Amino acid sequence: MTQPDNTDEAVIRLFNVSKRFGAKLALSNITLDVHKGEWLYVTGPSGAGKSTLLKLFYLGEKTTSGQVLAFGTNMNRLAPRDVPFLRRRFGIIFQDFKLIPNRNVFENVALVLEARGEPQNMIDKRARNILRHAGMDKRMEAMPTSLSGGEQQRVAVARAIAGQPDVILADEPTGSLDPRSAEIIIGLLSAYHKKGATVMVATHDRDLLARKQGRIIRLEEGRLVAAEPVTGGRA
Amino acid sequence: MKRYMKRTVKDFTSHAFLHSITVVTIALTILIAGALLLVVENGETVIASWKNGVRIMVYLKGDAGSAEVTEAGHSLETMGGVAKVSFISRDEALTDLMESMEGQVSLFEGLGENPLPDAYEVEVTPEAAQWDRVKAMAAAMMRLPAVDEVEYGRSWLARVSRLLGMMELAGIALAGLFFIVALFIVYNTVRLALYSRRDEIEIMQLVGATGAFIKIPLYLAGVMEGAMGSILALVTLFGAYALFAAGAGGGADAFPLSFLSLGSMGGVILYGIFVGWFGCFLSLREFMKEASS
Ligand SMILES: Nc1ncnc2c1ncn2[C@@H]1O[C@H](COP(=O)(O)OP(=O)(O)OP(=O)(O)O)[C@@H](O)[C@H]1O
Ligand SMILES: [Mg+2]
Repeated sequence: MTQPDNTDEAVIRLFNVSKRFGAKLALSNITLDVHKGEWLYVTGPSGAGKSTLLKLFYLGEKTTSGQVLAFGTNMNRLAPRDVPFLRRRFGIIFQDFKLIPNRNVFENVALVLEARGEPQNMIDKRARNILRHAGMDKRMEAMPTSLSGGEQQRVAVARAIAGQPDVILADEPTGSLDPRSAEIIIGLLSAYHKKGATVMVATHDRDLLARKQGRIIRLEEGRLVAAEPVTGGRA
Repeated sequence: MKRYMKRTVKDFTSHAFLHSITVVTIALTILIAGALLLVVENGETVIASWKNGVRIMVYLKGDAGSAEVTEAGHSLETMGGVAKVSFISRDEALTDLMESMEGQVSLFEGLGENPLPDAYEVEVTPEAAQWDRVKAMAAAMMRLPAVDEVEYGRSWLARVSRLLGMMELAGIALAGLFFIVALFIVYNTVRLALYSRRDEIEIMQLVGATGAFIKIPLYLAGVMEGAMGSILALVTLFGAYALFAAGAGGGADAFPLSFLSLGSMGGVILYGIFVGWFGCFLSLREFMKEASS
């Protein structure tokens, strides 16, 4: 177990966090700091609790015990009406994409900005721009179900970045992707990381770990088993 | 607001089937309640005109002396349920008759002597304008010595009056019942709609949409469905009414039929809107409780 260190500004802090689903202990006594501006990998075998860990940050799940602080706010004490505003500080790439099936690519991305009450011309401009970077500008009118897995994943990444969040939570962003889509996604995330965002990636994609330098933490059966300071390939 | 409207309209087109079902069900319940309202409203006009217009004509004997006539007038005035008594002399009656038959004056030329009797026209107070009361009053008038004949409203009006009174009560009871039925239907269709897009709503919540952002288009849809449903019901009702009026019109005894008053139509639309809104409110309250737990 690592002690939370206070040398860097932490955007997310976990103190002795456990999460139980019925009899199943998905996360066990996790203590962890996520620093501002860092690139952090969460690795571990399937069922280790990677997705569950990310969900605790944006209140996709509530802790069974322990404390989660995001941007200095204790998640256990956050009023329901403040939850949407917390979530706007996160850009979430869901393991199952979670694109809205009856809205086209453009609308899926624009929705995040609409929900924030941004002006329409700004929404149009930003959504188009991001979709262009994601290589999806030709498919803006397409419905998500007509897209390949890689294309859906790129839209999901575009949507996560569109709201200009402080922290990106990417759950298997390159899981079983074609090389071109993976390349584009890493490019998008890296570019956004360079602007000062914190990026947290849950993955068991060894190629991804080799591709981009970052701190790696490892989960096994809900326990934090290793926390290597900084590992990985080229920056 | 404009943007919410756009989202609502877009949603209407993408979930066209579900929305049209809601509109039609709202329309059906409103149609039934509206038809009752139409009958009751028309019935009320009939009853009101009957009650205000209840007059008893008291014809006097030709050989009655002027003292007897004055006395009869006095008795009528003091009788319970009488609002006003006016004397119509046989000459006045003839002038009135001739005036009303202008153009056929020749009919009267051969008339040597005025055949009409003197008469009292008795107006009945609205409270006394019930069949039994009027009948009893007429019988009492008949017993006055100077009175030859008494004429008053036709008996079928009494039966219609009683029937309409019952329909009015039934209408109020049914309107209450249909309100609950309509509400239940809207509540269920909205709930169905909500569950069919559980995922969409969940995703919106996850990307930081507030409750209001998610709910406002749903409320707008509910309100629009209510308004569209009630307008559809009114149009259908008017069609049925027009057909009925065309078939029933023309007879001398036909009621003066009229469609719902503007106020009632406004009321029906407001009612539809309220049902749409309230149905939404109920199902959203339940849905959001589940979604956030
Ligand atoms: N909603 C839930 N209800 C019950 N059990 C759950 C739920 N979510 C997760 N779990 C369980 O918690 C454990 C951790 O799941 P989690 O999804 O976090 O794993 P993961 O590390 O993301 O796996 P993968 O690499 O396959 O995505 C698993 O055993 C899973 O079955
Ligand atoms: Mg997972």
